[in-house]
Amino acid sequence: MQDEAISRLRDAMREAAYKDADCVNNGQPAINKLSLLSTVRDVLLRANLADSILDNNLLESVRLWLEPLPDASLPAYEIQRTLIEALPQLPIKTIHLRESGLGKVMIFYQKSKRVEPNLKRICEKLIGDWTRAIMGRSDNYRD
Amino acid sequence: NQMISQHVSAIDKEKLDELYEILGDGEDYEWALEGEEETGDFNEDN
Repeated sequence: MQDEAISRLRDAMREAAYKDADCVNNGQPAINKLSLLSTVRDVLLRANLADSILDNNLLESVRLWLEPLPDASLPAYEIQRTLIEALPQLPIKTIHLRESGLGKVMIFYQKSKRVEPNLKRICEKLIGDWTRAIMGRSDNYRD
Repeated sequence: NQMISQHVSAIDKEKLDELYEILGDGEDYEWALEGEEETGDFNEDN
């Protein structure tokens, strides 16, 4: 039941991200992600949902939410903060990064001058952790 | 000794390849970084 709810949320998040990109392209206010944010926050903060979140590739939708919009603008600060602050609490493994593409958007947040310094610090720490997991592992592919 | 160093290099290359696969080559969102000013653009009102 839980998996079904999480995958529904993943799909709803994806839909909201695409709608917001369309809004930007049409010169309309992009409010779809913001409308869903409190639901996303509630789910991300529940430690008992962590495995389901990762197994259902919700991180891919997190990546879509964090991506710059078609006009190169960043998502609303509350969106950035909610998602980025939740990431260190999740037991993210390399396979989840591969499935979601999340690592690449984190590099963008590390490089962008428009990111709030505290959020940037979190991104930098995560990138370091993920890099060490890849570079430091033994050859039997366990993190 | 050369065989050993070649073996070590092969392992490192595999890990580097995976790193590039996971983190990209830095170019993925380059288009969105263009135009950011040198002095920094962080604005709390965003």
